[in-house]
Amino acid sequence: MPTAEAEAEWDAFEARLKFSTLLGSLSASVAAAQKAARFLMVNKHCGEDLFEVALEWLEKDDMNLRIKIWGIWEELSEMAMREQHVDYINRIRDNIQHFMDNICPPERPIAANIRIVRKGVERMHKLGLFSNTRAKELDEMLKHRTSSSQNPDLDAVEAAHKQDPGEEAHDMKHRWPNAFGDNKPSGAKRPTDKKQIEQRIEEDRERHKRLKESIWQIGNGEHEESDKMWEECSDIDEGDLMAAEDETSEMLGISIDELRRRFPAQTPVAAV
Amino acid sequence: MTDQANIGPHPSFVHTRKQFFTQQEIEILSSHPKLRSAKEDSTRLQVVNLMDNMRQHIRLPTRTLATGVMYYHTFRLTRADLEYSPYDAASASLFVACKIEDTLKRSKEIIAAAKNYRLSAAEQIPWDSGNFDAGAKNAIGMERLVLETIGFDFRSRVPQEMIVKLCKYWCLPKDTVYRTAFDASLDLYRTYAPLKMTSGIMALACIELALKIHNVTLPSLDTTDEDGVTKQTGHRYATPIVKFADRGRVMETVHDLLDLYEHAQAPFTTRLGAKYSKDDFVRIKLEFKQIMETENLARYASSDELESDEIKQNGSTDNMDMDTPQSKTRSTTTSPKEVNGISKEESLREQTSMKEGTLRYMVDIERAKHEKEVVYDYFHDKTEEYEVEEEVPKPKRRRQ
Repeated sequence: MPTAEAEAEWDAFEARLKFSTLLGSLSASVAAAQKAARFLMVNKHCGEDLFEVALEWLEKDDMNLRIKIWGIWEELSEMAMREQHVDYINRIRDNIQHFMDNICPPERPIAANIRIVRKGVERMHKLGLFSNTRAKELDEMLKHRTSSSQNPDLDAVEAAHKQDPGEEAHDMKHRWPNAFGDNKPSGAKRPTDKKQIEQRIEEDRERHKRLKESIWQIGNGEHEESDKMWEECSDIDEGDLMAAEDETSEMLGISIDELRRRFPAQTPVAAV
Repeated sequence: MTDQANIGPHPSFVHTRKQFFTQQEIEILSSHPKLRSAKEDSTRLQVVNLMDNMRQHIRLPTRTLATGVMYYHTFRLTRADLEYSPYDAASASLFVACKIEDTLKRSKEIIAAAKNYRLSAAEQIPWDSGNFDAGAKNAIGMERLVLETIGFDFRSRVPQEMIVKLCKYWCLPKDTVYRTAFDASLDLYRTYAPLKMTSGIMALACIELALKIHNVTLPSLDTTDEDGVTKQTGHRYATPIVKFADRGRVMETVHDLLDLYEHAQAPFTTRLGAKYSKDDFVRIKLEFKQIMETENLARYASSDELESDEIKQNGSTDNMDMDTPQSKTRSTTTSPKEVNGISKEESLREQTSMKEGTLRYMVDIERAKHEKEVVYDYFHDKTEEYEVEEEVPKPKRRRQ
């Protein structure tokens, strides 16, 4: 029953076309990235073709699109690792450098993209896609690019985000007039057009939602959640005692005063 | 005619959520024809298993599951009068819990998770594909019922945090005792224990079980406290935070868990059940039995305590389950000795049909109680108009 409802498998030619359309209408949401990744998983038989398509799209001159395609690799690596699909895992491993060079090109690094890619590499590393050394190497490389970042336009967006992540787009225009066109970027680089920046602000808002989710999302590992709790939980304090009093008095159906009468010897928590 | 004219507007009914149930109350509620069947236990395991799988699939943290399962249990027990599928109730409970724990998920994502969790990535159906619209609508419809059942009282009890704190406090090994206790705390939601106990008691029960499994002893658990007061109440835990934890209740919770491990059959797996054999649990159960015999503890501490409290407190124990203004009387009436199962059951169940007046939800029990006491007199005189609700169940409700 489930397979009947899932997206159908296509032959290689149709799959290429379909995937192309999918990439053309890609949004920055997780759902869109997951949809594309799922398409790759369904059409494993023409994985090579589909990778080719994605690499072609990565060459397009739209930095926003490139970073959206990066979202697909993140989702795909998670799906592939879960199912141990060796072909895709190897493809991602082999092409990671290529992806990075396209998304954060060394000659034209964009801090806003680098930030996302670094997080993504970390996520992939956690999934076990890269060895520790490889992950470190990639991270170092990205870090290096961050420091040499020279694109004033998208960097301005990045700076604005840092100042106030919840900033509204029109406020940003007001505050960062130079980010939206008029100034000529240094060197021979093309100016990033205004529309692209606005689009990026919208998309970053979508990514922000994802970031918020990641605060409470649990990992896949068996002990990941319990370990995280162990790390994050504070020691017993006054607040716990009060919560315990509340709960107990309600359980026994007595008032807190009555409870305190029944359990008088109250060692101060600090002395414990 | 003139009498009629003198009657003001109905003061409306007040509903407060019952946060804690006793074993006895749970048994009374489970005796409803719909819940009495032997299948009910396996339904419960199945539903909680499903909820656990769903929440792992959409990566919800334990606290959301804990809250959701509490709502589900309460709903299942008190709303037996409704026709619904337990799976819809489970999805709706999880949906409400997501909002309350601030781990927002769309209703469609939750419904889709129920289907997708066992499928491979390629087979999964995207939540926005339209396949889950009907299910999501259902969940949203049931959301209101769940909210009413919990009386818009969003407090919940999550023992996991307390487990961490106590394990750290007692310097227990993280890789063995803590992890086992954490797993046990998740299994606990397959029982009714979370409805009966405070988070401190649940945490202690999980830790005690984990200690036995790993054969670790905790000095403070096994030495008798010198403090006269704590001894008197049967308390044996030296940490101030758990001083309220009654040993009998902790043991009751441990046994709820052990019973679960004994009876849960595949495919309704429990976390610890997958790691340890039934023989282990039988052995541990015997050990705990000995402890209970030496300490002279009954299997169900929560019921006994209710009884004795009632005598001491002249009935203020069950002041939470009053649904009608009339029920406020108890502080003035003398309690009849016999247990009246039916009226108790009625008082525990949600009231679905109101003759007149509005139903209001109140979180502060004291305030609700006070208000009911104030309006009681007015109701009492007009016997003819309220006879069904007023006179009959009132005095019988107090059990001894």
